[in-house]
Amino acid sequence: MRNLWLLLLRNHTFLLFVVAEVAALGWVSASHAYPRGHWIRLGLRFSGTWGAWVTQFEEIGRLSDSNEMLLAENAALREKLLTYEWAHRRQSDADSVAVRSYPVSDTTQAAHRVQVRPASVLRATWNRSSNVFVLDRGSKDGILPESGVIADGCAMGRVVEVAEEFTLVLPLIHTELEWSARVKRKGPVARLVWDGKNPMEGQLLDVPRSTVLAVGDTIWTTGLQDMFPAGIPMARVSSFELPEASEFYDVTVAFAADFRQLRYVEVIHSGPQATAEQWTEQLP
Amino acid sequence: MRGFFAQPLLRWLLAVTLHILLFQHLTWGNGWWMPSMHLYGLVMLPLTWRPLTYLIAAGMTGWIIDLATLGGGLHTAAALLMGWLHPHIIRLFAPREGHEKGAEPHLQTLGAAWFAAHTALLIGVFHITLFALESGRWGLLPVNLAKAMTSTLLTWVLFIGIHLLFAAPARRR
Repeated sequence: MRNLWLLLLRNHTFLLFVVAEVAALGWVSASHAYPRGHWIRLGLRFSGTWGAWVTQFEEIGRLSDSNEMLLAENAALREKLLTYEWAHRRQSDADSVAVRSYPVSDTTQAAHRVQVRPASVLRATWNRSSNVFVLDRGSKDGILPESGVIADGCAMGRVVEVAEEFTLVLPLIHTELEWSARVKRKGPVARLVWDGKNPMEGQLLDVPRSTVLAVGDTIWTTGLQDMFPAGIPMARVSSFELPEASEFYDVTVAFAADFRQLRYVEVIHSGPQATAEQWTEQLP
Repeated sequence: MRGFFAQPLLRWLLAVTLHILLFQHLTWGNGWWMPSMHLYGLVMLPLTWRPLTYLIAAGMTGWIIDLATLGGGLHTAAALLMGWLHPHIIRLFAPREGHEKGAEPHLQTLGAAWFAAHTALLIGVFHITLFALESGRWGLLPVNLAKAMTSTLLTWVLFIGIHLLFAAPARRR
């Protein structure tokens, strides 16, 4: 016993190293693919608070850019609204008041209700294989885990962890995640993945050879994953080839969101009744 | 005795703070060039401390950086390996009679080749471990090891520059 004790004492540095390294590797494996838990929330608070300070200073220089962006977005929204009203007016041959007299029932509204929460990006990484984004809104602003995140109307990631004031998002550029995607509006469903090399480009897997593809085709969300409704643009086809004797295309896509430039995003959360997951749970 | 710990502690604190406040945001070329400023305090630790001290200092550094940058344990794991190897690397390049008590890594007293090798090895161990763990899959390993090399080079040049600019001339004993 005494010899064992002496042996441990003699190698105490090595033993401490092994114990600490195993603990650190455990932390890595627990947080690398899908970071959640106490340490992540603690880091989120720390990183978020510092990020908020940095952002305050950066915002001063960005104000003019932001104003221009908001103006452009306002204009685009107004254009859509006017086009929508005009189209309905023509169809119903009535004025805009009459358009509003086609009420959607409360039940249907509740079933399809989508919460949208704006947020600013406090911190973003795009040079790792497991990238993360930290947003300046949290649970007190109504943000929920497993919500989708869009930027400029394009899918950019999903919420994985929410602290009171900050939110952790895993973007499309994350090597451990796969995203359900549809080729064109009515094309086949495929898997969108990222190989960890270029933050501008992803790979689309399982696109059957029967698909008619063209460079520039849009890749949309399918609505099969819980966090996004169908029909949100994700990427565009930038190149593709059909390997010999393969049933599937090798497709490279350019992400719709520019992850290196993101400053503002919107967190969307579908109403509980509207999720495909719950529909499938009800199946016999 | 107070000066024996105070100066390295101050240097370590300054390096970690600078990394959190500034250097963590400075990454170029899609992640190919990433300076690890926080290692400066560890690399410049005195050469005759007990091995346990290097390990604890490195572990603390990695843990703080992981919390501040959402590193998820990557920096802790890499820094711990570096901290454990630190005394072995010092011994590898030590003169036959050993270092004087309280000796610090200094370009003037220990020579440019010694300083360059000591710094490069420690930074290299850290970056190779960090990027290898970060890759998470075999396919990304070659690219990430290449990134480790470029980031090691950048950090090494940065440390040599800082040392030449700011390190006080070595005192004659």
